Amino acid sequence: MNDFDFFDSPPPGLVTPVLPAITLPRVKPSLPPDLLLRIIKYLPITSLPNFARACRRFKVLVSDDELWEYHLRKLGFSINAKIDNPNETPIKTSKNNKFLDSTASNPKNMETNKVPPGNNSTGHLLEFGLLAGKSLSLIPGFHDLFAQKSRSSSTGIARSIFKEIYTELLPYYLDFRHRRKDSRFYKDFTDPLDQAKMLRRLTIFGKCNITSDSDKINSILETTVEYCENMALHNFEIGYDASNYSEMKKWATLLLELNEGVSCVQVFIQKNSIFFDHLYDPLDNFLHVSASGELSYASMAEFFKSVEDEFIKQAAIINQVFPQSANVFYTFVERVIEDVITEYIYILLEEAHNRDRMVYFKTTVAAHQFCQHVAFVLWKETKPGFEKIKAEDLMYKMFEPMMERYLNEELDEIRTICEEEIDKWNKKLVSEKAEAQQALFNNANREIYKRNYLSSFRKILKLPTSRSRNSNSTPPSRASSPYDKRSSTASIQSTLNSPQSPVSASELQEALLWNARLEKLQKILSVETALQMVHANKDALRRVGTFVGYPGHMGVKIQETLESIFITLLQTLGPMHLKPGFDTAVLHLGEYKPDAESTSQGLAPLVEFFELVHIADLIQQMLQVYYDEEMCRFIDKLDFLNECNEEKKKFEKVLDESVAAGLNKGIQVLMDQVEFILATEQNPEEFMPKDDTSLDLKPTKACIDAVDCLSSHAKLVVGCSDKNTLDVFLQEIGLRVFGIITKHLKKFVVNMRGGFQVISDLNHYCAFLTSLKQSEITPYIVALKELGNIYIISNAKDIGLFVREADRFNGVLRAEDVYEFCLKREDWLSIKKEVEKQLFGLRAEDCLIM
Amino acid sequence: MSTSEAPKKVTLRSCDEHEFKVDIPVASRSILLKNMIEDVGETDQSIPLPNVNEKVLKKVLEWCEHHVKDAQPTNDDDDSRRRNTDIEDWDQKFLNVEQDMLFEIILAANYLDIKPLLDIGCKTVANMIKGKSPEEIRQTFNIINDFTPEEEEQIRKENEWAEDR
Repeated sequence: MNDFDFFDSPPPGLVTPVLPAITLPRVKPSLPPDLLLRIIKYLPITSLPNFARACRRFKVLVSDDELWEYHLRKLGFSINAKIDNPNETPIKTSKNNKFLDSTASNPKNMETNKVPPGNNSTGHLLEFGLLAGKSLSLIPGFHDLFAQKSRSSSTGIARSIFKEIYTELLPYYLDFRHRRKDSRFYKDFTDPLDQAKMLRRLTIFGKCNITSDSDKINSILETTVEYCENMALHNFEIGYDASNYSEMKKWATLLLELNEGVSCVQVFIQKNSIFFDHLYDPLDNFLHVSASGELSYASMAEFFKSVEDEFIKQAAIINQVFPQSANVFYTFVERVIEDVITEYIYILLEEAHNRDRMVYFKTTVAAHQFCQHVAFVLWKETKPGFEKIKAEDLMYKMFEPMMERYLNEELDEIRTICEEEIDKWNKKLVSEKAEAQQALFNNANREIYKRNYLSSFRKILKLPTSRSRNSNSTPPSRASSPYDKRSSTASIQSTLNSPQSPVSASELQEALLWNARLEKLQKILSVETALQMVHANKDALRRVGTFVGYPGHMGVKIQETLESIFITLLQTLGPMHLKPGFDTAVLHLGEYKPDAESTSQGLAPLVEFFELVHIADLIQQMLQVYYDEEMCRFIDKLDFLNECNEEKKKFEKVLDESVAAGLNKGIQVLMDQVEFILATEQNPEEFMPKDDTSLDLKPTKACIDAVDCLSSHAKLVVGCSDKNTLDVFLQEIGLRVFGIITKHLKKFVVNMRGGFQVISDLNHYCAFLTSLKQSEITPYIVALKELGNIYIISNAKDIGLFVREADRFNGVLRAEDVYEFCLKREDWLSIKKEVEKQLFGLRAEDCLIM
Repeated sequence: MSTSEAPKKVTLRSCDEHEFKVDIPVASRSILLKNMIEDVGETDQSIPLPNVNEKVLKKVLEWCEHHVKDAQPTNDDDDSRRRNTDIEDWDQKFLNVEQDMLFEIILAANYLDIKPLLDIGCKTVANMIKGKSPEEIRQTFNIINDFTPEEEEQIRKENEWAEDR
């Protein structure tokens, strides 16, 4: 074709045209080829010949590849295929019947996305393109590729392919202008399957703007398709009712060819009895409720079994009737899940929810497990089966709407339980306040108790969920038996009673024993309360834990809930139980005034406090065990950003701070008591014995009592807190005791014989201080020992020297301090002059000749 | 609505130096102007449109005003919109203008990148061509037949297959 240049526009492909006509209003505006092409795309194909005859410029436009590619695309062609295979030249129309047969025998071709071999007919291309065309818009920049293609380089391939299809289909298409039984369509195609295929092609063909009366033809075509569909559906149903699979297959194939068989699949699914024969009532599950409120779920198991059986059965039938590509089984499963399973579970859960929260939780978990089994059956046992991930996704998707409420309730429940426990404990605390103090354990025993208690706790923790909490956790049973101090014991007992308990009975009995003894330790904090909470928490965690694996958003939500459950425990146990407990104890400590009645053995609030520290430590270790055993399955221990780890640290910090604050107060109280003992029991005569009294050189009673008081309390604290806190505590005790003793000594006048008494007292104190094993206070011990000597030096001159020799005291006591002690010597007045001379007077060697 | 809340305006200047104060949402029907406003930001300066005269710009803005609430067309529904050759009543009336005017609106819509307007313009022209003889088409487009009778006959034969029989 000669290229008469009528293009007064910029090079093809450049969209923005120069508009010379606009600037000269007199001249009629002319449209650039891009716009003209845009216009003729809207023209019916039958109007194109006349347009081409108008002038050369229009003729060139009508030959443009873009126009024909556009129309081919509307027929569902993937243009990529054509470009990649320029050899794919049109095939003669006469071949079309043979081609139709080939597709019928090989339905897989419909699915394949590969470009058919070059010698395939256009009809085949049309079929193929239907599917490929759908993905067309998914290829980015695809349209640009065509827009930029040069107009002058039109190959005409698209046009000839289109012509091929057009000339083949047009006569049949135009036939549908008139409803006639004797039309070419019915003459050429007698087999219903061929008719269906042709009708489908014509329907697609009609979507292309063919003639000016296309709409009318299309609607007639549509009616014909409907008629054909109804007829085939009717036959399919007859086949279904007779369980004639080959007949069903025949009509299903036809319907698939006609319009993808949507209606056929619909009929097939709807006729399944599973949708209208409701043999299983979700409420049957609630008929047999055991005394403990447990449901057996036998009815639910039956229901799911029947569904699974039906799946396996239908999978086989579908495999016979439908080609796999039609995805009928998937659609069927989807419908069953939607209409049957979802409904069942919904009613079930609704009822469970109305009955009781704990029942609801357990039912949800059970239902979910059944659903997972269905998914398992789908990908494992049905033939042909599902991909695993697809089956699981279906189940996840189904369960998702129910998860939101479940998770919220679960979290809410755990909060309620925690608060209830705390509340109960607080009430009990008030009622028991008057109760007398119980005997204390000695230190060694306590350590063993704690260790044993923890190990039994660990065992109990590992028991399966269902058993460990059955009697004391479900609200009905709890309501019937009012909470008593032994409910945790009961929980262990119930575990013991369950026949398959993996822990040996003797071990549990032991645990029981420890448990009972530990009760006595509980004054302000309750290990039981903590245990109850941990148990409730563990059960919730286990339940929610079964849902781990959910994909996407819900998975995140589940993880969050898991963490929140644990955090709730920490947050209630910490600020609501431990903290107030410590506050009370510290308050008691603060209120304490030393009095004569308290013996060195029982400094009540202080003992109480130390007990508290022990229990708090036990609770913390319990939590640690719980965290290690349960929580670590869900979270990363090392993830320092994780909220659980953060909360756990916070919890520990609260505990440490409480302990520290209490210890601080405790020291004060202890020191007050020691001072009190010293002040009340020390007899001034003890340090000023008459010359005739014999010296046994034993520590005085005051000294012994004070040291007893100190050491008994210092021992209490050992093992109840971490080493650093303990060290600080003991050092503080050492320093304060030193201060008290020096202050105390200054109150008494001491004679030479009394000096020996003082020394023996000091030795006793020092022995105690040394037993604290704190190297930081060693200088003070040494200083104390040295200090005694001041009373037994007879030579006044030596006393002066002694006082001056400050390094004897390692800087702990200054000369002035030591001097003060000298003042308390009985013979001070007589030696004063000599001592002061030594201290302040100048001696010959002090003078230097300048 | 108080005046302070009224939509911001932008000034457009046609090639024959007429200025139009237009609400930004209205002007934004034109992808060209929308991008320009987004790039430049608020400005008191008028935007010159050297390819559009006052008469056409006025008409185009009238269309924009009427369709200001329409959803912005996206690239991928390009095809689906074209498939439908129907034109809304209002648009049909709007485009019931002299042919020159129609062409100028199409050109302006193309220049200003207003896809929906361009589409209905093209559809209107297509409807004008539909079912017309070659001679009638020539008259419509004001073009001269540059074929010899033999050539025209040959073209007719070449395209015979597409004719409605």
